Amino acid sequence: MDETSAPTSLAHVATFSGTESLDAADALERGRTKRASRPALLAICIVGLILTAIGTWGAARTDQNTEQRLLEERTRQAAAVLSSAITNIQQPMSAALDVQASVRPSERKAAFGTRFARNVGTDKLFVSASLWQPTTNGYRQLSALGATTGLNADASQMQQFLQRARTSKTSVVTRVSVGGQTRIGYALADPETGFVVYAERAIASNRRAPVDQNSAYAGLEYAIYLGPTTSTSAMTTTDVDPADLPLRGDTFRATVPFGDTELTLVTRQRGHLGSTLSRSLPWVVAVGGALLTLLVAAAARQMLRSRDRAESDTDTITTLYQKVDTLYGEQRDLSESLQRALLPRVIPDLPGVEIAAEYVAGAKGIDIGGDWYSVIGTGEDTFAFVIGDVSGHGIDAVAEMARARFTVRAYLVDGITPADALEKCSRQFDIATDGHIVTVIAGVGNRSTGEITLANAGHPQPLLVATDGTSRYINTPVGAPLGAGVGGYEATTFTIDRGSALLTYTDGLVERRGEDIGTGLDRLKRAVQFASTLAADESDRDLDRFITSVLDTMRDEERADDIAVLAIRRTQG
Amino acid sequence: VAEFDERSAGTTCVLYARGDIDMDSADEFRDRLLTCLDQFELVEVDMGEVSFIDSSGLGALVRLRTEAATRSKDATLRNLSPATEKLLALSGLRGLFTIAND
Repeated sequence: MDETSAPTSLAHVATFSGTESLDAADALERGRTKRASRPALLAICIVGLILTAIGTWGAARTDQNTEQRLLEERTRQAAAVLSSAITNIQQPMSAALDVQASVRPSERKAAFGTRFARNVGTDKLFVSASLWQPTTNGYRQLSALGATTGLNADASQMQQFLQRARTSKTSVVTRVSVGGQTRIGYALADPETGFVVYAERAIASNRRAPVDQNSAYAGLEYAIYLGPTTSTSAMTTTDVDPADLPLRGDTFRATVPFGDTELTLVTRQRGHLGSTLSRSLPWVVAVGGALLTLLVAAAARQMLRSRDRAESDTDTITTLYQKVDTLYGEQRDLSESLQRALLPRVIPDLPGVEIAAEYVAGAKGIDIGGDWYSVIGTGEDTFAFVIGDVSGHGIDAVAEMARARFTVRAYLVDGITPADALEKCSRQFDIATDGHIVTVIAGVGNRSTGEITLANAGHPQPLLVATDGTSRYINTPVGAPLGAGVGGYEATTFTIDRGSALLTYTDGLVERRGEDIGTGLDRLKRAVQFASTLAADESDRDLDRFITSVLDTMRDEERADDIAVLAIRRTQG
Repeated sequence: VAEFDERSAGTTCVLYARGDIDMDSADEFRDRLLTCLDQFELVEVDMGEVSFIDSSGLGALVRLRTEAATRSKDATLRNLSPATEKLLALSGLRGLFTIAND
């Protein structure tokens, strides 16, 4: 540290090191916050993500179930539509047979022609239709409408198919290939008459059927197979590229009775069947859950930090308070040590007089005052004494006290009278430069005669205590304190009787807040009386115990000022 | 706890002191007095509401008096309570100040 700007006051040092330790504690706490929060934050994130995953999975599963259910429903609807379509196909054939049963044989051909012609032709229900009459050697074609019957290219196949219809209670169905074209052949026999209606229905060459958006097939990919198998050859109609068949993935299968066989309907959802919400719910849950987790983690982090910060602040403040307490204590101890170092360690042993002195630091606050006392043997019978008080408190007051103490003492040792000594001192002390005023009583005494001469610079009057405890204040002319810049001190001379004591003290002993100084001075007289009575009762003439007793009586717990007491007693006999 | 208020008219500054002037407030008291003295020819210290003054406070008054003398200015005290006046007398400072009472 730079010597010129170095703070000499311990309070300043305390502030400096306090700031330093605050920063260090702060850094330490930041580290601790990280360590403490990590597992908790990690746990929050993990739990949050697990919950999100479960929610997402649940939503997806629900959506999937919904889709499955919707697919089943749609497929059943489609199967119902298919079923009604089959009825539409069978109905004209059945009607034609009914007509045959009711007309005369000569009119049969004409009746079939007139009744069935409207169902046959390009873009009609059938491309080809024919009426067959059973004979002893097979079926004979009675009438034919539309295109050439595909199946009849192989007459035996035709005969077998018709026979199959004759033995079936329902219509019979077969696939017919005519060149590159595929047709579905239907045959329905009248069990009464034995007549059989045969019709062929064309399937688009690519077997693809476009689906109306409003139809039951909307939203579905489907393939319809003739018979129970889903082999390529059995496939009759689809709305996808036949090369993509069979349908894979989540498919649903429904069968529709179709003559003596069945149609197999295989479906797969084209897109999403359910609501948009149902489809996006898993994503909503996943993204929302992740965001929520982040938010909660962020909030938790903030809370953990706040808590840790609060704890750390509390710790730091406690530590600082303790540190400040320690430093104040150290400062106080240091000041008091300095103060005591400047007071006489050993009171000189002067035959004929007893001397006792006490210094008491202020009860409150950390600052030490500038009170002092001196007793010096100056000659064979003479001695000098001083009691003084530097205004203000703290190290610089103690330093000022040291200067005053040694200055006054030096003059007195040189044999200069008390009044002159104070006069000389008053020129060396100036409140404008020193910052303090100094009150002093300087005195010289003769231990043989008991004569005392003293001068007073603004100091409380000394008390002369008789053997019986009665006392009176010596009414010395009071000059201005040292430092006030005015001199003019007058000496007072008086004699102490044997057994009497001169009690000098600093203002801390008698001054109390909110009280007239006179009250304090009267209290001191009573305290002295009490101490004397006590000493007489116990036959204890010890002067130290006497002033201790006085100090005990005068004790003020609220006292901020320090106290110095110096008692000089002329011994009996 | 002490409080200080200043009022000025012309070349005179009146500093009203209140409360306890002790080692905690004496420095502020001294600074306020010297600031007044910097700006005005006459500083009057109204001590009417001073409940307590210790040697630190007396020191501030002494400082004002000596500074005023050095600068050929004037400083007076007024409305001293009997207790304060007695303390001034006991401290040998009574003769240092001009004391006025309302």
